Amino acid sequence: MNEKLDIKPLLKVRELHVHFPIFGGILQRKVAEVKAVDGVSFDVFPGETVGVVGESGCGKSTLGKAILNVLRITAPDVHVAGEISIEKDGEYTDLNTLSKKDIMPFRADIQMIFQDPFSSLNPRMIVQDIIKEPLDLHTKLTTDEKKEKVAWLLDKVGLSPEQATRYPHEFSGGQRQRIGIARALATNPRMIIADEPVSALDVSIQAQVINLMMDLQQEFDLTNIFIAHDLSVVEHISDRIIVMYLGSIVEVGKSDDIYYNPKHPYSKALLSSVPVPNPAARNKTRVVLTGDVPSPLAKPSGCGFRTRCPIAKPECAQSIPELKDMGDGHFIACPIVTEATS
Amino acid sequence: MMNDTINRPARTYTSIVTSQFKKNKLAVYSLHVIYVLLFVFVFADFLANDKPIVMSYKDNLYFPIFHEMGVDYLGMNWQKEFQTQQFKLISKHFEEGDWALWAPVPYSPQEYHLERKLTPPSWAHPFGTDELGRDVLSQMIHGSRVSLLVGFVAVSIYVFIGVILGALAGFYGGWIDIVVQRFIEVMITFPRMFLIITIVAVIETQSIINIMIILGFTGWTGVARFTRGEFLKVKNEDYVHAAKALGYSDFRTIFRHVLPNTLTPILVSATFGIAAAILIESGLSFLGFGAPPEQATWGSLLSSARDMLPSGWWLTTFPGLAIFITVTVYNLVGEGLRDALDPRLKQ
Repeated sequence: MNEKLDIKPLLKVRELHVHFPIFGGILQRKVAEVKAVDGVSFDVFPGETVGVVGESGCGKSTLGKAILNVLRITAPDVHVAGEISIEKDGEYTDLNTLSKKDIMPFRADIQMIFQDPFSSLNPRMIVQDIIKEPLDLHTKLTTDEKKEKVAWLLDKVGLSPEQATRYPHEFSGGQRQRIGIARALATNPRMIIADEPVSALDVSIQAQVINLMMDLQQEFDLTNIFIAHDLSVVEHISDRIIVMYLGSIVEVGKSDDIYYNPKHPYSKALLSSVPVPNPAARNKTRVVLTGDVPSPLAKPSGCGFRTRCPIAKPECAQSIPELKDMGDGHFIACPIVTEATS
Repeated sequence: MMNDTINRPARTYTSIVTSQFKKNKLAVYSLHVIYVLLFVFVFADFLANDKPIVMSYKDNLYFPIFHEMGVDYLGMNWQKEFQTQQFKLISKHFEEGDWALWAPVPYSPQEYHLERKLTPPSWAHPFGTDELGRDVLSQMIHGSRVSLLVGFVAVSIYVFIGVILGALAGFYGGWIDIVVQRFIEVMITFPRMFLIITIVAVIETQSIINIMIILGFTGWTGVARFTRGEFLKVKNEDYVHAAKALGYSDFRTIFRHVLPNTLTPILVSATFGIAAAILIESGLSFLGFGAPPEQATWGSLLSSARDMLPSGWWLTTFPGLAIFITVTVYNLVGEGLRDALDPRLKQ
């Protein structure tokens, strides 16, 4: 899926399905299911940042949580199928098949930065304890070493060690997000999943936090999955971008290719929705979609996007389109565009 | 903004709650009344007793109240000259140099003086005497022990049960939740008072310990529902997801991350629960189902005084007032706590 075929991917996701059952009736039987993630496959290579974009409800956050493997604890009814393999010492382990106990050593490898800095920190714990807690579980440091590491982490994310004894409510949103980043870094992870880490912040703070994340990625040699709906932010931080619609990937490619030359009709519409500051430079051919995203409970047959697609044809209802290589690591899931270009 | 936070002295959660609580004057006064009640609870033996606290007799110093405790709990024996324990008689035969320091209310709750029965409040008996000439104030002081103990023990039992069941139901959901919820619903279908009376009737042996346990085992439904609801809310907060992503055990997640953030309504309902338990115990004693007859409680005082109305007004007024004041101050403190523990702590 990528031109860097000589490099082994750090994370391989294959045919990932996440289905949330809906219960109803007196007996609370399963009456339907929401296919939040519906057959998603992609690779993440070491050291890169992969942006995941798509509108609300397209399954990007669920994808992140599935990779993090918290869904089966937070939502025991949820059905997660497929392969989520992480590379460790040259070997791949499928996290989805591991037991609660066996997954422990891998928990330290993948960490998450959450969207809402106001709910991601325990309000009854001081900052020091929040950052120290992962160390208790995943390292064998002495108390003094832990204290030192907490101070060091706080320094790395741009907070002063004196602030370690404060409670989260005493910090601003940006500072809280920095604490969240410090907590995620405490276990020495190799991969960070950032679930809309800046969408709850002011624009000026957004830039600070994004630059901090990029600096830390360099310094700690991290691999990032950056989930967002703000395309300009994603374009700035990502090496590659995955565009999702209704639980499926519709387009994957290098950041610049997607941003400046989107091929899939949905990506085109998504990108033309990005506001352009200069009125003279505004794109005259804006693609405006009509209607709403179909309910994931009742997905259209064939291509999920066909109900809103400006170039839809009757055959789109026939089969689910597969990702086709357009060259240079650019894949799209739209047979109509692929046929027209070839 | 940043400098602002650095220079401000660190405020712990407790200090914020304390300062918020102090803004509610009524709650602070009520808390002081509770302190007084606790003082009475602890030192009841020294406040109302027919024995002196300190006594000098025949050039020896004696501490009869302490000695009584030793006799009751440590298996000590009374000195030969005090076998009768009639210290008031002994004091009548005091010789030169002998003296005694009596408790502020120099009557024990069981001590009766038939010649002084049904006397209205006077200097000797501030709250009067009952139909056997027993001092009402002394009975009330000792009765406070039962009333307050019932409140604390019963509430502790049911908060414990309620928190555990509610936490399990809320945290794990699924069939555990269904079982706990149905159990709660079955429990609340029974009117509590009748359930308690039925159990008391079945148990037969009347003891205050039984009352506490029964109150504890019938009162947990409210706390369990509160806890379950709070757990449902808090377990979906991102910090709980973070805890899970870090691989913390369920035990640690429940007790360190979820429970501390759910305690507010539990604490408040516990405070109200103490008031309710005191009231129920009084009610039970009033109906004759509560403490055994020889044990004076506020409720049993009211009950036995019922026949003396209206002439013996002091017999019902003072125990009734004590119940009223205690229940009121607990409710006021509960309300103050509820406001002070509001998650949107105003600075």
